[in-house]
Amino acid sequence: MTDASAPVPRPALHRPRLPLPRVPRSRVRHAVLGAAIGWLVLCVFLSVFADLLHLSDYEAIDLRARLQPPVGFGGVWSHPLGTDELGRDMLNRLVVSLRISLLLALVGTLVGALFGTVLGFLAAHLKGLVDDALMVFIDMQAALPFFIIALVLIAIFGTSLVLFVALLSLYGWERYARLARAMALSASEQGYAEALRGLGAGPVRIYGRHILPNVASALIVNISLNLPETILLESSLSFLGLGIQPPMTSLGNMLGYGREYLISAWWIAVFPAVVIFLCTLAIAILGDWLRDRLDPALR
Amino acid sequence: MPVLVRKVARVLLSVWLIVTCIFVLMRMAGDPALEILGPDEFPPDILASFRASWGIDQPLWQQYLTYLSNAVEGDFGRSFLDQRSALTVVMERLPQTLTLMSTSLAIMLLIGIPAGIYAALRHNRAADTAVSAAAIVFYAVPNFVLGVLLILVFAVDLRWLPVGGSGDWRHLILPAVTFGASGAALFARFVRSSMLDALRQPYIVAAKARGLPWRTVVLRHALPNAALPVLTILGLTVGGLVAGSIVVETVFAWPGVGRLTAMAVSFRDLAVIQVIVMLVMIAMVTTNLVVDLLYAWCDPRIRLYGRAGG
Repeated sequence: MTDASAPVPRPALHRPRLPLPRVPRSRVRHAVLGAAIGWLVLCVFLSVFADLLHLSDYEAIDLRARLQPPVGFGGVWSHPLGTDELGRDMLNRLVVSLRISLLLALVGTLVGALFGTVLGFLAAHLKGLVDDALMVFIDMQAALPFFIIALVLIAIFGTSLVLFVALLSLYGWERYARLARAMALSASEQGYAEALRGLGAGPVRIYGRHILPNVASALIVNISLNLPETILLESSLSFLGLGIQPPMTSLGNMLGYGREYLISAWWIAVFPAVVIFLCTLAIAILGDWLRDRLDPALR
Repeated sequence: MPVLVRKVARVLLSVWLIVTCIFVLMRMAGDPALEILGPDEFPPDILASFRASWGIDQPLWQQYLTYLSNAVEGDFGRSFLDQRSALTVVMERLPQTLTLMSTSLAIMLLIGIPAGIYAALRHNRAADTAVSAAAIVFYAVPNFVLGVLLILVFAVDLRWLPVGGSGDWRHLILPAVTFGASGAALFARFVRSSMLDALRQPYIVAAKARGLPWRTVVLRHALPNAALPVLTILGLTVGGLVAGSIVVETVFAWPGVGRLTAMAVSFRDLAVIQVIVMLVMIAMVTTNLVVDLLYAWCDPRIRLYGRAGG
């Protein structure tokens, strides 16, 4: 590092620096990224080891301790984040909700990504009738927002945990399929795919080893957008009272009933809201970083 | 134009498939008479007359044909909640939803796209970092969280704007901002990344080498190529608009189709839900068709149907 006060002769071609004192961007970025990873690790840790921390008695009702504020707002340490309208400990409920929400979102995202990408490549490669058939399915899904499909199924069959998990798993597959298909079509028009075919490489090798890495950045951006969206889908449905049902709990479910106490007991809604927000934010930051890492053209 | 014909045929096919799926699912779910009347004990003659009035006593194929012809005519029966035609119930709320949606869409496009282009042109500088950071934050805020926070600050605390409901333009601000924020962030992200991709292409270097002004290079050479992935996202955003309207209208008690949907699902008002599904499907299918055509029009390299030479 050079001392900023000492006049250091620069090569003439260098762009003049901004007159502002600059915080090294990489340091800020690393701090943000570290915070994001740290938060996610904490969330995963809490979710996995909730039982060991004896936080799992989230259904314990204490009607004498209803609507207690958190510590710092007149609360006591036995309930650090306060209690809800039935006197249940907010911290316990938050951890258990977090576990359920994260598990649902993770499973949902991975299944959807795998399913959609494979279908998209298949459609692009086989073309013709197969492409048309798959596109009809994609059209069908794309013709209705998934939220509506989910609501229709919930309206017809009623709320159930099995249906809910299946819905989250199916969420977003058509987006990967469309993206993978469009990019595979575009990539196979480019010279390298033609050259590989000329060299005798099979389709699995061309798609898996050559086209996939080229479209990976777009797919990963999609995953990094899709994972928080799955968390949002889960919390939105639960928020509307159509997802996870009491006595089970999830972050959206907590926020949903907390909204009714917004003015008298803000903490019931604000804590799950903050946790949802931080999780989706951290995953989005991590996704951006992954994209920068994985796309060599950006560096 | 055979491409258009094929596309329209595919669209009609998917519409028919969805309608059929709904029919099958509804009959799979159990006896509609028991579903609608509830678990209480009813005398058999009441059940029978109910089935007759809904046509449930007919054979299945006849029910299906009746269902299809009614669907074509827009007749989905009456709303269980207020006994009027389901179509009327939905249609009288549609203008409210369209007002909210178009305002939000305007916010998304008018903020998101310029912000994304600007960030890409200032790649790795302060403006880029600021836009990217804002985009990440606003994308990550769930609309119901943002809505609740905005209500707390602007309606409960500052008392500048109404908490909910509809009326004059002031009722529109909070829901539209809540609704538009994440979409604007999404567009900013995608426009930025596809602009960056486009700006790295050799034809940009070539255009610069030919001595074209930078403005021309960006507007005529980079932007059309960057528009391609953005188009895909635009088509997909319409679905997000529909889903978002359900949550946002519920948070702000906006008397539109979205809030009606949430209510219809919790009360299992299937007639209303079917009308909403048809409505959404028509909107989505039209948008997707337009986007697909624009896609082919924007990128002549992609020969969707057969590789015509050149």
